[in-house]
Amino acid sequence: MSKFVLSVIGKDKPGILAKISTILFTHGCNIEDVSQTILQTEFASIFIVLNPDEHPLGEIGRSLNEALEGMELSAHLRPMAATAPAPVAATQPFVITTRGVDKPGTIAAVTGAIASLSCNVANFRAIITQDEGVDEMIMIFEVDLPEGVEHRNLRRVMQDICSAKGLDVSVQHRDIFETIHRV
Amino acid sequence: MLNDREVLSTLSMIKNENLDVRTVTLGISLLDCASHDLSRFNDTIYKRITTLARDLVAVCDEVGDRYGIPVVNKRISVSPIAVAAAPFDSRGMVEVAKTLDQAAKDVNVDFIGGFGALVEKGMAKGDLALIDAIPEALDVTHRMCSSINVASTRAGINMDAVALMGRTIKAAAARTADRDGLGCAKLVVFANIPEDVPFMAGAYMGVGEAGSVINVGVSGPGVVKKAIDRALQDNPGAHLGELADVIKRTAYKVTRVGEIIGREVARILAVEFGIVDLSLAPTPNVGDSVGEIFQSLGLGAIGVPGSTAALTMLNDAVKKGGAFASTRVGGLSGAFIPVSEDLNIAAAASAGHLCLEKLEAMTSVCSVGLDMVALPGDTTAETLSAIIADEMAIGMINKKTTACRLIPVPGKKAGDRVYFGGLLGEAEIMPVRSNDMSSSFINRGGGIPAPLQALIN
Repeated sequence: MSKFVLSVIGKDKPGILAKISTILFTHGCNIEDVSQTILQTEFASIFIVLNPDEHPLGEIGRSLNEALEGMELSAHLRPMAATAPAPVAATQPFVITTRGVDKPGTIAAVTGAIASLSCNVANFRAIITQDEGVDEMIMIFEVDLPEGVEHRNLRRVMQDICSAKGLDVSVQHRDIFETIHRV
Repeated sequence: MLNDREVLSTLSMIKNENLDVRTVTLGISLLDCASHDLSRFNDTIYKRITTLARDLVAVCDEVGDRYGIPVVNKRISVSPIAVAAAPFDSRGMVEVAKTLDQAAKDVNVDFIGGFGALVEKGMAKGDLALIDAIPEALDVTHRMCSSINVASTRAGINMDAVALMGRTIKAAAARTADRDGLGCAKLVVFANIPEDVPFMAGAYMGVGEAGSVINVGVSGPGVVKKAIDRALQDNPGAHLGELADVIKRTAYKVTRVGEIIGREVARILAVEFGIVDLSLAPTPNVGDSVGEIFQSLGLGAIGVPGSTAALTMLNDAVKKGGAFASTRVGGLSGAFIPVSEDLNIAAAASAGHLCLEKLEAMTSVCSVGLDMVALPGDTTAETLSAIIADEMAIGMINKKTTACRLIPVPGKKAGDRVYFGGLLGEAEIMPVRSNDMSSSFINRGGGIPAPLQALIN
């Protein structure tokens, strides 16, 4: 049974999800998974959609874009590969937090260092705050560290790149945050 | 997915508020090492300790590093030496003390506790030999701590032992006179000593415990103070019930840290996990003080009227939060008020807000007792014993632990300053009122009988 991935981005306003889900429903589609977020004024969402009647994606895409255009939103669809996912190697979840002055190239440098250890970023948020008139950026990465990579190695690599970029950094196993804050 | 607040508040607790695991203490039973041959006994206990604790420091550092939570101290507690080494005389006991000290040094832990005896009902030959050895043992060792339990709610107070401990403390001070009586800073006299306390100087491995066990002491007075300050910033009119709730929630978070670190260390070392002791244990650093919490609650200083009530609330809220956070809470779990180890408490004492009598009153509701109190060098052994007897009575009648760590500083008088260094801190010597007026009472000896468990008003 075919599936597709749908992403919708644009200006946030009430009624977006109602509109999208109604159109998908009229094409006989079923939403399997969905995630959405809002950054400042912008809405972004991603859907995994089951298409049991094998409706052509072009047709579904046209219906969506026609309905969403007036709402300053656009939709993009891609067929999803039917193959089973590759077995996932064992990983340990770590949280990397950096704090420092917001400068161009910081995110590229830090994410490059994370990628150099084959760590997958499972979640990433960047928060800009004002500290004494200067833009300060806090970045929180939730990463999956492959079992073969020592966490001390991750810490060292992060400390090296962050000290070069003038950032404070901490690297901690994710469990500590859940343990402290959740009952 | 974690939320930003969870991540950032955790980091703030670690970086700005001194959240850490204060101690991971490996308890080791030495009871099956017993031998009538001193050198064989020493060889066996040295081998036992250094084998079991060989990886303790490395594992604690590794686990602390993984979670980003420093494990500040790694320590060892052993079975009461008066029991394990019962056949030996006091010279033999000093040799055992040296062995313990050497083992602690060789596995790189900062303290080893358990050079102690349980004498609440009476003193056996091994107990007397050990107590007799204490002054020399504390003089010739660096990392070894001693604790003697002289009272319990079920047995009463052994006043012969209380009298003996007054003399022992004086002798320990005299032997370490060149270091302001430092030996006494490693010697505690207890009522109702817990078997699983991980904090020094009182840590020992109870005779009812397993072969080896990991007990964890977490602290965090700075975290509690900041939480109260934040609550008051958000709501300046917060009443005490609301602040007690803030303390309780904070204690929960702090205890969870100890739980996760302790369990992981125990798992790696293949040792049973014992308890988390959530005690607000200060260090002589700004922002890591129990005294500062009193000021956040609205008192001018620790020791002023209202302090006993504030400490009651603090101690109880800490226990409630801690009990919910851990599968097994034990040890002392509450608030420590060690005078020289807490900059703010030491300052309150210097300024005259906190006197010995008020401190004694406060110990009836806190988790320990008269802790790290420097007294004039001319305080008589009988007066020391009488102060101990008062403190033991508070513990016995209230069914709680109380303790005395008193340092009669040789050659110094009230108002002089003493410096112990490191975690032991510094303080001004507190005056003792009516010195040398308790001798006849103390010298009567015998015991104060155990109290009724009913008619307890």
